[in-house]
Amino acid sequence: MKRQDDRGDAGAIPRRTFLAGLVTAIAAVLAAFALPAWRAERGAPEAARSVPGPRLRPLTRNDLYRDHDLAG
Amino acid sequence: MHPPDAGSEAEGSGSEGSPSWMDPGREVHCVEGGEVALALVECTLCPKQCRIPEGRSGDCRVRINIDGRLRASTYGTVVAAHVDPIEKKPFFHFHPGATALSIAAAGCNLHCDGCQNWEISQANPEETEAHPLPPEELARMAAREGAPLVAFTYTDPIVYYEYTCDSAVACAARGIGSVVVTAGYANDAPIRALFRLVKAATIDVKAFDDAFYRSHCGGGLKPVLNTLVAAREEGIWLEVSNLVVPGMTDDPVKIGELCRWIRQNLGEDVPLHFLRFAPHYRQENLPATPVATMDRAWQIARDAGMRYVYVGNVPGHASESTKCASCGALLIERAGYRLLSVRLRDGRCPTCGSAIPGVFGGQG
Repeated sequence: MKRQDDRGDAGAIPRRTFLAGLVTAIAAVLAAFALPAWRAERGAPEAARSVPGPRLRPLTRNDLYRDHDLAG
Repeated sequence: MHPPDAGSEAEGSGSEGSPSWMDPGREVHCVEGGEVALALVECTLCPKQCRIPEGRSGDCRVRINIDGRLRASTYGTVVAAHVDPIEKKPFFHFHPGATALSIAAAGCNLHCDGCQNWEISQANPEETEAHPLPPEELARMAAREGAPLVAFTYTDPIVYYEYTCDSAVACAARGIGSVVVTAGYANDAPIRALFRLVKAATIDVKAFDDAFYRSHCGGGLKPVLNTLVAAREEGIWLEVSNLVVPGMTDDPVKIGELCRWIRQNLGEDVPLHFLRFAPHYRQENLPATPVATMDRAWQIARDAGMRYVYVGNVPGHASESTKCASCGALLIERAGYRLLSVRLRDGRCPTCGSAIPGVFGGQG
């Protein structure tokens, strides 16, 4: 027999479903924002900083032989 | 690709011939009220010795403090790559007529007002479009294109130092020579280590005037003169260039001083190239250098005793061919950067037999 408070009214969210959703939402927020910040603060060893650099495009043979006006 | 530590022996470059200069930067501290406020890393590659906070780059925009160590952000990438005649660098007494796979990475440690390549030399690397070209691939590409030489040029190989060194080693393993075109604004130990890996250098002296370096280039003259002497002492082939900018670096007195210094410290046989200025960058308001000014610079150098003097960026100029300094016979005939003929015989003038300074390989 179901407990009275789990039956609810038609259309209402059951308490267990609500709690499960709440926990999931909190976990998602932590994963997205709080944990990375905490890890960065601690200097997690695997979180090596990427080095900024240029945008990359493969070099073609045409690049080598096209006219250019660079000095040197 | 993960760039190696700037100034350290690069990853995968542990082979013989790798640079002996190793310095991942010196950690220094800003102290405020007796407490360390900010940890910095000091780059020791060039005389600016930038003290770089975490996550920031030095004056060259290339060398970045990442987690307390310097990284060269352009390592293994080139912002320009072209197959050029070696005469264009310019080298006039070094394998005439050879092609050089010529490459550059973004950035420079000088900021000359009249920079002819400012679009790539004064750019932040993150703002440029570059091509991935690891040292091994660069060497393979040079071999595939039949280029006996690779030139590190257009910007300044000083700021892509580790890539230049590793590439020179990779090229040497395939029998390809490396040359550098540089302004020479570097510290003594790293530039000597680089010179030990390359065959030749053209060093561009902006002016024989320290005040000019400070106000128009963001550098100084003395380290450049030191680099010139270092190139001579390390035994590589050396040529010198000088951009003649009207109203800026065309003072006959200063040109004369430069020529006399070169003669006394490097010798009268060092080829000297006076390059004609065309309006660029922060000096777009200036006119191109009059040809008469270039002729005057040429004459000053000859009067100072320099034996091989050339005028560049003036197609058809009488000085673009090499003539024997002893008898005046035509030795290497050029039209612009195009080689027409080489009349040397075993590196000597066929008319008077004088030895001609240079590295001519099997060409004469």
